[in-house]
Amino acid sequence: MYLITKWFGIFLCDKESIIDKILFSKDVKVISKKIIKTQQNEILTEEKKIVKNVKDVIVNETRLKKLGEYKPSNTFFKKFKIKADEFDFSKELLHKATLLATKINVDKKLESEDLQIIQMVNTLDDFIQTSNLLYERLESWSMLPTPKEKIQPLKNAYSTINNEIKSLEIQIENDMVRIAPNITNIIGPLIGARLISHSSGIIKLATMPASTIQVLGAEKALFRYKKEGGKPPKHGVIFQHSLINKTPKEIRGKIARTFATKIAIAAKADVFTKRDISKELKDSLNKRVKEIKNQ
Amino acid sequence: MKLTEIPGVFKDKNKIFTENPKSCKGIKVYNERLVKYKGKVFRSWNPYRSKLATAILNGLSIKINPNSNVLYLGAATGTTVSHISDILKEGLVYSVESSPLAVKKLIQVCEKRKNIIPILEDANHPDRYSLIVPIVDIVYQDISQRNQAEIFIENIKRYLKKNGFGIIMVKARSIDVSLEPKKAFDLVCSKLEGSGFKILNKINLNPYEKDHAAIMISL
Repeated sequence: MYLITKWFGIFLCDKESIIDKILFSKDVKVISKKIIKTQQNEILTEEKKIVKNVKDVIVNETRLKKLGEYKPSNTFFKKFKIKADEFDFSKELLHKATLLATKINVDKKLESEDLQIIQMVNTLDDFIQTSNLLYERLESWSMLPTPKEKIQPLKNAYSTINNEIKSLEIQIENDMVRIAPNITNIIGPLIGARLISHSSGIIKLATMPASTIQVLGAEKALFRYKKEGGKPPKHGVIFQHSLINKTPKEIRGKIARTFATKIAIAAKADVFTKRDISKELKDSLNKRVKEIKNQ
Repeated sequence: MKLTEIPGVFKDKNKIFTENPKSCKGIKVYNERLVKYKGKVFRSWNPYRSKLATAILNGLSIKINPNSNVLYLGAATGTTVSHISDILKEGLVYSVESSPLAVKKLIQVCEKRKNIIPILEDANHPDRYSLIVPIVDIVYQDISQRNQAEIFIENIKRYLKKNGFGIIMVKARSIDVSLEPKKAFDLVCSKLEGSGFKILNKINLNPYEKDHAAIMISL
C-alpha cells in the first residue's frame, strides 16, 4: 500500500487505484495549516488514521518514516497521478493556501533572535567605524585655534556615538548570554556575535566544521589562497580574542585552531542540546593552550 | 514587436519582452521598462538581471507552452519567476526559495500573479514539498551552491515527467573557485550524464554573466 499526501487530501493506493482517501475541507485556513504542519516535520492525524490496521505501507517522505517503509525512488509515486481538479479543488485555492502558509512561515523565520543579534553587531561595527572617523576629524580640527561653539556639534556627535556603542555592547552581551551561553563563555559575546553574523545564523554556525569557523571573516584571504596559491589564512574574526592576538606569531595558528574546535562544539550545544558545557570546554581549551605554549 | 519561436516571448530589435497580464496593469516587478504596442503592454526582460533572458538571447530554445507546469528552484525575489508567470497562462510555476527575506519580496509578486505558488523550503530536501508540487513539465534551477548539480538531479528524479526537460544555470565559481570555468561546466555535465540524463544544449551566458552556463537536459 502506498501512502500519498497531497495538499487537498490523503490517499492510500494499491498498484492500480485509490483504496481509501480523506479529503481536506475546501478552506484556505485549514489547508494552509496542514501545509505548515508538514513543513514542521509533523505527521498529520489523518495520516495516522488512514494507515491504522494497514500492513506494508510504503511512503516517499522522510517525515512519514514512522508510518511505513521509506522508498523515495519507487517508480509508483511518479507514475500514479492524483489530480486536484478531479476532486474539485481549484488552483485558486492552492494559490491562496500556499500564500498564507508561506507568509506565516516567513514571519516565523524572521522572528528568530539570532537575526536581531546579526543586525545589532553589524550596527555596532558601523558605529565603531564612525566613531573612529569622528575622532580623527576632531583631532585635526582641534589643532587649529577654534572657537568652542564651532567645534561643539562634532564633540556632541562623538560623545553620543560612544555612549550608544557602550549601551549596544551591553545589549548584545545580554542577548548572547541568553541564546548562546556556551559560545559566549568561550570566545566572548562580541566575537561570538560576529561569528553568528558571518555565518548568517546560529544554526548555520552550528553545522559548520571547525576549520570553516577558524577562517570566518578571512574569506578574501582564503579565496585568494584557493585561487592563486600562497599561504592560507590562520584566523578570521577569532583573531580579535586576546588569547590569539597577544601570543607570538608562530603559535597563533595552533591556538586559533584549538579555539575553533571548541567554538564548533559550543555552537552545537547551544543550538541542539541546549546544555551548558562551557566549563568543561573552557578547561580543556586552557589545558591545550598551555600545552601549545610549552612546546 | 515580433513573436519569437518561444510562445509568449516577444522580440523587438535586440530586446526581449513578455506580455504583462491585465491583472498586473502598470505594475513593475524590478523596475523594468513597460512598453505599449498595439493595445497590449509588454515588460522588457533584462538579461543582466535574469539568466533565463540571457540564455534566450544567446540562442536557447525552450519548449514552453501556456499550460506547462514549472518547478522553479531558487526563485529569489521573483525577477525571472514573474516573466515565466507572464508566459504561462493556465500552468503554474512552483517557486522554491530558502531565504525568508527573499521570499518576503516574492510574496509581493505572488499577490497579483495567481499562477505563482510560493514555497519557503530548502531545495536540498525535495520530499518536503511533495505535498504541493506535482509532476511537472519543466524543472528550472538557479542556485549558486557547490552541490547545485546534486540538488538538480534529486529534484529532476522526483518531479520531472518523462518527456519534460530541465534547465540548470551553472555558476562555475561556486562549483570550485580553483577550477577553470570550462572544467567546472564539464564536471557538472558529467555528473548529469552519470545520472542518466541526456544533455540537449549547453549555452555560455557571456557577456551578460561571467563564468555562467545554461545546460538543458532531458530524461
